[in-house]
Amino acid sequence: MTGADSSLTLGIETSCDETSVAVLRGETEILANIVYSQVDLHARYGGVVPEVASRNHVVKLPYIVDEALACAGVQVQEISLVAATMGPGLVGPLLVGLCHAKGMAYALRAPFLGVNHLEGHLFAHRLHSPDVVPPFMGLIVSGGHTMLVDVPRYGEYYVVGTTVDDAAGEAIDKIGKMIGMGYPAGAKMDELADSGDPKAIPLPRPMGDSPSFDFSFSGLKTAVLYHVRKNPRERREDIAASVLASVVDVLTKKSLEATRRFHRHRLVVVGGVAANAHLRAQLVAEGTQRGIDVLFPPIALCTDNAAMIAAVGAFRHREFGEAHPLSVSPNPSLSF
Amino acid sequence: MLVLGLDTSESPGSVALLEEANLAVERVLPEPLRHAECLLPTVEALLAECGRTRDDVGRICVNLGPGSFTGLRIGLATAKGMSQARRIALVGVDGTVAYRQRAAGERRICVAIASRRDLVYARWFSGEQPRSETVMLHEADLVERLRAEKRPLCVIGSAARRLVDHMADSSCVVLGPAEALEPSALAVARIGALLREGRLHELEPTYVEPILA
Repeated sequence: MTGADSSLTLGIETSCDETSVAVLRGETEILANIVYSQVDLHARYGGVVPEVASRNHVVKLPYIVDEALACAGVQVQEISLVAATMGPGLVGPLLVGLCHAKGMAYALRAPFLGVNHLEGHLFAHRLHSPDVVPPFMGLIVSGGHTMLVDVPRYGEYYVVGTTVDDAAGEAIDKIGKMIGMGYPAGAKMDELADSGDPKAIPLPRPMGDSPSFDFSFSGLKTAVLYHVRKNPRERREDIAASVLASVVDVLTKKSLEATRRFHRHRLVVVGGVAANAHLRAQLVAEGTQRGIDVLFPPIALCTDNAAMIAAVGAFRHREFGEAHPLSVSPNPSLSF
Repeated sequence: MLVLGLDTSESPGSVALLEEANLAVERVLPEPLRHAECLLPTVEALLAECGRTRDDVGRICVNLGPGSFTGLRIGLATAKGMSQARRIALVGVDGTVAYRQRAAGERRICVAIASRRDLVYARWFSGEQPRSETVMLHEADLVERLRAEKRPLCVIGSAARRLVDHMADSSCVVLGPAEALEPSALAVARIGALLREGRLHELEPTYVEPILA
């Protein structure tokens, strides 16, 4: 192994309500990946409040940096590259992580890289399976994103489809809130759906028959709202099962079709909603029928974390010699 | 010891270098409302101009506010990152005190810092001593309070000029010296140079207001 392969990258991720810091050796060896979730702070507001998140990041971040370095067993001066999420995400939270990272890089005289959070999600797969290389179709599905991305090789991305309104996880959270599940609703919805009837409520399959690979989930929320108004005694289990059936059907159909259309044999599913058991089961079952390998990195790498950010930074720095000036600022609507 | 001052609490932001009697320079950030982009490049430029490097910095002093929440976090997060990377001493400085120091001769002082819309952060001082916590007021309410003054009062801070413009009929309220009407990283550095080192992990901006969610 060359010296470059053992160099240490510090990654920082603060695009939403997770404060995360990671230390990576080379491009794929995770020495530490600490994630502090603020979810409890935001639960009482029924969603992420950007100002609450920003205030919390500025206090928590130094602790999480310390913890990550201690966990990795490295001294801060051994860090040779600093990478932080520059977007997409909430601008206030992004600024805190980006400024902290730039301050560290500047003082350490280490190169700095601002990282695209979406590319980070795809690198969850690289961290888990460095040998299972592109090409593949990527499905990024979370509370903030629903996107199909064709990946011919790392560093090259084509957006095949994206949501025109709510992200899948966002729709699930909003519906969950509407039927009194609290925030966030994903895990609870998954659990309730186990004992519900997915055919109980005839919900639409938004854009399910459209030839495009774009998604739309906000209509689903309205459909549930009208149904619940008319049927106030509908069992929550049945609502959960019917909602998930609709979301999972659409995600499964479009993802597998996109994979086939782009002549890929693998579908890599990342983002917080990749944790959903119903989505996993249906994608694997239908993927197998169609000869498509459906791969899910471990959940800890699927949800927002800094290891994936460090992994992109380390890759782009080595592969493309990329580094950013200290004038780089967040881009809340960054895409590919 | 070379002290670096950072002030991104308002617009314009500024950075400063201070070293005992040898050096006291300040540079205003070139673009208002682009603090996150300009801050470190301006620090680097000022260091180079003074023939110093980032490795010479022995203490960082940062304005903790009140001011723009986002601006305050840009300065503090940058300072925390630098401090954490090289164990540089970090000191948080109250922005009202940084203004107060620049109106040295005055006895009774009101520091008024412009916030968004018609809101103003205000704090009163008797000599060196603050007479109140910092509060947030509507400009009209503060004007009314200032009009009721019966004794001489000097108004300083970024909102002072606007306030005193409403006071033409008051014989007690006067505008402070020009150097006390704009934020200054050099003033932050001068105060921070004398304070005890802060605890990096615990430093937080002075928000004054609660979160309105």
